[in-house]
Amino acid sequence: MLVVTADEFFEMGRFLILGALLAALMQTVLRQSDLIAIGQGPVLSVLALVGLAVLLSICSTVDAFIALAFAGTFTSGAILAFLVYGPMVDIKSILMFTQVFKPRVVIYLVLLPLLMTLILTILTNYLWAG
Amino acid sequence: MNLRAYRTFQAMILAALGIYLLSKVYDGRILLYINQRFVILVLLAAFGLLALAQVVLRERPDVGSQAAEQPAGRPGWALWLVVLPLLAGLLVPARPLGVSALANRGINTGAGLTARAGSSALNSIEIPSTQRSVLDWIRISNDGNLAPGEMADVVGFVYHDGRLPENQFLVGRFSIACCVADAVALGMVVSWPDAAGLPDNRWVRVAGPLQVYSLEGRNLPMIAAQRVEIIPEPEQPYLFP
Repeated sequence: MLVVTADEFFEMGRFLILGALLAALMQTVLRQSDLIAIGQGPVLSVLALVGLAVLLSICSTVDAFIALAFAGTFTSGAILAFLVYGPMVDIKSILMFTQVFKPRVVIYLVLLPLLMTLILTILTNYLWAG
Repeated sequence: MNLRAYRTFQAMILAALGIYLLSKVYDGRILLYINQRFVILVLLAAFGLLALAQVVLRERPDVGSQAAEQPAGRPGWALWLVVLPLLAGLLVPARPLGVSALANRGINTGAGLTARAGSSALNSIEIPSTQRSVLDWIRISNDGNLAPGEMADVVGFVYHDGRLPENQFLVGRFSIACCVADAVALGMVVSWPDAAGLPDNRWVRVAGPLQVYSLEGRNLPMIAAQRVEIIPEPEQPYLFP
């Protein structure tokens, strides 16, 4: 029984490790200020923070603190997108999805939440920011 | 690779991971990676890995048996990939984030990010003023409770922010809510005549009365330093909110 646990550990562990490597690379290379620079306006700001959420792969329990740091510089729709999409999809989870699901399902899992998030948060920006 | 060899390597890697984690917890370096409230989980994981290693080792097919000689049916590279974090952990010394990390992250002088997460429910304002950390002061500042004239005595690294004049610098700390991936740099303004003479990233202890400083329309705590003392890097460079 427990041998299966060990097998599972190695099975999923390698995707977790690859994903963590990529995320660490992003954390080291990516300048947050560059993203912030492109991320103005009701649509671009949402795209910038969704991108950041995926690339940074910060766990969902603390991304709110990171989002708070952006509160002054980004539109509220963008921060909402960061909070909603970040926990659902990041580099690690995409890699782990590919292990268990068919490619088509992975694409659905990544793209459908992305579209829903984009539509609703950009709408939020237009409705509230007026 | 045959099944017996595969299981042997599996057990060795599991055990090595467990021992590695235990050693990190033992010498306290684990706190350079994660917030202290997760140490107990790491400890449990380490024991779990050791137990698993033991089970895998015992379940190996006997030497010479038919099962031992059959192929493992799994690629060997998947095993070596799991060794990677172990090697990285052993070969790359755990170096705390410094000013160089600020280039990517920026430093924060008082936005939100101070919500009372986790166990430290102790209100920052109840701590005697000379024992408050940079984090405590910024929390108090966010609550709008800054009392000018209180004596501050904080430890942090020196950072020269382009927005500040010659005679001021920021005394910064990284705050770790979960793990280093979410590290946020916090900074307090310090006014000190010889500010320009302090190199970036040098650890200092700053003492002096608190003033309120206005930067880009926000009120920030500023220490009018009476004493700036260069100190070695503290054992625990991070603050845990």
